[in-house]
Amino acid sequence: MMAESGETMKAAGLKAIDTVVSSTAVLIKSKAPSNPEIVDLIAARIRGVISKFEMPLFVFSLIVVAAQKYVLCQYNVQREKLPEATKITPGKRAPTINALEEEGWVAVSSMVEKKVIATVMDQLTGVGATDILVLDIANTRAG
Amino acid sequence: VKNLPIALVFLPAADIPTFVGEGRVSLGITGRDTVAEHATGVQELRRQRAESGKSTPEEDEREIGCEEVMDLGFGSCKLQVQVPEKGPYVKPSDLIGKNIGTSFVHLASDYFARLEREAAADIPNEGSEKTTRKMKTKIIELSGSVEAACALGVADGIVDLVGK
Repeated sequence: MMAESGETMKAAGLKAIDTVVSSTAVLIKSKAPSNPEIVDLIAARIRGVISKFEMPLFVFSLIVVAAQKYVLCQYNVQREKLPEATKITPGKRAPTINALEEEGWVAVSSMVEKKVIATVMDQLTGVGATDILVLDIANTRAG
Repeated sequence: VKNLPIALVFLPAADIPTFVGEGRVSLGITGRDTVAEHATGVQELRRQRAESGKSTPEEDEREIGCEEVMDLGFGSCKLQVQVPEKGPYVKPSDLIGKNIGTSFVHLASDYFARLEREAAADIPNEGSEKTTRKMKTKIIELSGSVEAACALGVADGIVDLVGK
């Protein structure tokens, strides 16, 4: 459908005199989805990618090129939720826990297998973790 | 997809709102223009059926249609009214009663119906609802190469996408 460009319009000797709709690519959902939880989950995942990068299509192709087995996952969580959260990200030996300046909050960093990271992020969100970051590990001796 | 029970399906951009709207496909990525075109078409159909008394209340209550979840920030373009550069038409209302070529028949009809109502409202005695029921502007459905329609004498103006 998107064969037209400003160049084509000029080449055809036409000029625009009004705009009916301004459009971009959008994510749409059914008003009556068969599985609302999964719809919201996927929307949240796409939002995670979109908010970080300018060109989502490019990023999707990067994700496909999986290089390493582990990524480093960091997040903030309330101390009372820590047992639940570390059950999701137990790390290789044990998770690293740092106290935050804010009372009652801790930061957790943990190695997570790349193939399960999307599910792990969803689960962490579910137990109230915030500011979840996933970092590539450039090199490691972590066997 | 590895870690979720979902299937990915590739469909023509213009058909995606139909599949999603019917609820057979839960999520879709397509242009806002095609979503608007589909929604306008569905409204039109409902109005026609309601007027002819064919639709049952149950049918109307069934929730169909799509809603936008988020702007993905790529593939931006505009659906614009275009006329020949050297032609006699300078503003959209000049095209009332003329032939308009487009692939977006519902959006174009809606647009020109509104123009006609506005134009009729300016002239006393013609501002009543009844005179605007029948559209004067003729919308011609084209599936591609819409920009050629004016040069080939099929249309006086077109409603077509312009990329940015």
